[in-house]
Amino acid sequence: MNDWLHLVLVTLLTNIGVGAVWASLLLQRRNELGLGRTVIVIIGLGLAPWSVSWCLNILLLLLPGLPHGAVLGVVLGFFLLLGVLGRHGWKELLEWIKERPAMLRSTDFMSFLFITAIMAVGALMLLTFKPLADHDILEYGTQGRIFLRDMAVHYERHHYDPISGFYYVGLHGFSFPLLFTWEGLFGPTTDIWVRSMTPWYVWLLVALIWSTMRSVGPWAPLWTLALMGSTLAFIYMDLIYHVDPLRVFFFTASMLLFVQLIQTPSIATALVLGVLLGAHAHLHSLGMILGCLMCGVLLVVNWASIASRIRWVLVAGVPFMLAGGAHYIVDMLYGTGWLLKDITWF
Amino acid sequence: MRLTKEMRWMLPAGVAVLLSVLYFGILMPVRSSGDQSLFERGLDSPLRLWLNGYLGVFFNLRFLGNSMWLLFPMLFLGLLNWRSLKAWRQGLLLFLFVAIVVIGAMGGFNYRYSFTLVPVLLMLLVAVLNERMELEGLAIRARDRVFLGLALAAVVNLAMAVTHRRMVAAKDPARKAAPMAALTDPRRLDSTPKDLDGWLTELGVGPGDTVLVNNLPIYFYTTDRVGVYYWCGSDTYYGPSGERSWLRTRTDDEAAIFMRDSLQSRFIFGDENLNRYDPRYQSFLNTHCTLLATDPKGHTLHRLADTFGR
Repeated sequence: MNDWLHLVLVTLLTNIGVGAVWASLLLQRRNELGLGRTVIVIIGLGLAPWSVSWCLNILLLLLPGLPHGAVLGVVLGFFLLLGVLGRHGWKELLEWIKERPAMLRSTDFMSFLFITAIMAVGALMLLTFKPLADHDILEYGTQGRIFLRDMAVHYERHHYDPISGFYYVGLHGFSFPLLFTWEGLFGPTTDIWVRSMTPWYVWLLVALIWSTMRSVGPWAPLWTLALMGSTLAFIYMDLIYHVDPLRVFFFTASMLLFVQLIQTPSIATALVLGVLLGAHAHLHSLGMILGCLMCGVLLVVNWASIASRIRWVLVAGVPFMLAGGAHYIVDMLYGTGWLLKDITWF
Repeated sequence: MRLTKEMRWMLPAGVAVLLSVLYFGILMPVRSSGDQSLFERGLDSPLRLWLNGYLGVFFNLRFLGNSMWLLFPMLFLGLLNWRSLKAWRQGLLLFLFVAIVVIGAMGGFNYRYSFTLVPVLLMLLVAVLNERMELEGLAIRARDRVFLGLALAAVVNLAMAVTHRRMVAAKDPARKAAPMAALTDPRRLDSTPKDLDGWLTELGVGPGDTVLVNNLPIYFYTTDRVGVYYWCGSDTYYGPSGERSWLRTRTDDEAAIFMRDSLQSRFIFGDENLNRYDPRYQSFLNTHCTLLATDPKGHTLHRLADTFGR
């Protein structure tokens, strides 16, 4: 299959399809979450690629050796069933989509579209001219293709592949390598979809900042993006294929939920916060560390009675662990040892 | 002369530009005088270690811009006025403080970890500055002018950062093109070797030959060949039981024998930039190996010299 067709197919099924399922589920709880619909849709779209990698992690760990088609079917079927639970969330989502054309009349939305257009052109250039060339993502990619070849995920002391001699030095959750595995299920000859994750999550981050900062002032989003966009770190994040856009997106989104939980606590907010922290942890060790710190701060700061604070942290802590935190406990006990091992820092 | 309110709020933008001038003009060298890795990260002196490392979230102007320093007094003032803050602000402040300390202490060596906090901190900066200016009675247009000043200062900083990168690259021919170069010529985005498998075959590496690979995972990603993953920067090779040292514990002659007999490898795949991260390794390549080829992008293939030094 042509690379671009492959990109469209995987994007439609994963980013858009699974993203819409997440958005509908979250929109059902919009009143409890206390976030704007756009922010909720953006978070839903962001959760999609991570969540397919989470499903793969579970399937390849518990049922190794399944054929590609079966794994693809199980994961997509799971999200199809999950979509049924969206119920009136779908209606909300459709209304949100219908409102978009009317927003073309607002200057600030047009400015956002203009930025989006520039980013889209940049993404096309990047995907056309730049193959997978950067060091870290090549390691993730090699490990992801080993998962695909073996159709199995193992927790082991050393991630050494005796067939190629490759040694995976990463100590993070398996989410990012598993994105390569996911793409490989559709056809193992290209990595264009994983490469597209860089511009996709940078755009989601920009959209999240834009939607959040609109409440500060009409031009506040533009000033925030101008300050962020004028840094080498941001430009590099845009040009270097890496896990960074994903983890920065999840961290930023989790901070919104963290503030929201303290301001107007609800079970939905605590659960979504937990999922976002878990997703960040599943992508990178820093997510695990920051997630634990965040839970610690929720316990320490006097925003509710101590009993309530403990309860809310538990409500957030369970999805945090299930979505990614548990990886590190398993890895410490049965795998590399994570932070307990003697680490060579790069 | 009394400064108007708007002019006072413009001062941070002026200070930001001044900081950039001092930072790039005095603090940041353009040539490595010691450890290449520390130089690349801007951590090659105690002062730079503090500014770009431990306190990098605020003062790593090269990567994170010249707006972040404003968060330093802002967070400090927040801590001083802790009791008067609402609970959510206390939570946010405490978390950011702890996160900055932990990232600075554990991950300050890599600007990417500090960047994790940047979007949130910049949102906070714009929101708090906007709130303070509003409280002082500045109209929306005046506030926008202040933010425009900060944005222009950030652009000036970016221009200096790019110039600094170019100056570093000009002094260092082995350095790979920075990603910024791709903005003017997208073809430079592709730093991969062209048809690596074919190139290796052409140079006499058989399909079953084991190659020592100096930190270039593309070898494993694009070929089905066998390799030994190695990184000269820390003199570590990886096997079934984890990390081992190769050169540090052996003389060059012993290392050559070990490579041939134990690692069962005669070829080394690397690149000009990475090869110089360890002078000992580079010297080993020069004295005990033959350079078979260098491709247009700087990738190198060496072969261990045989018993007769050929």
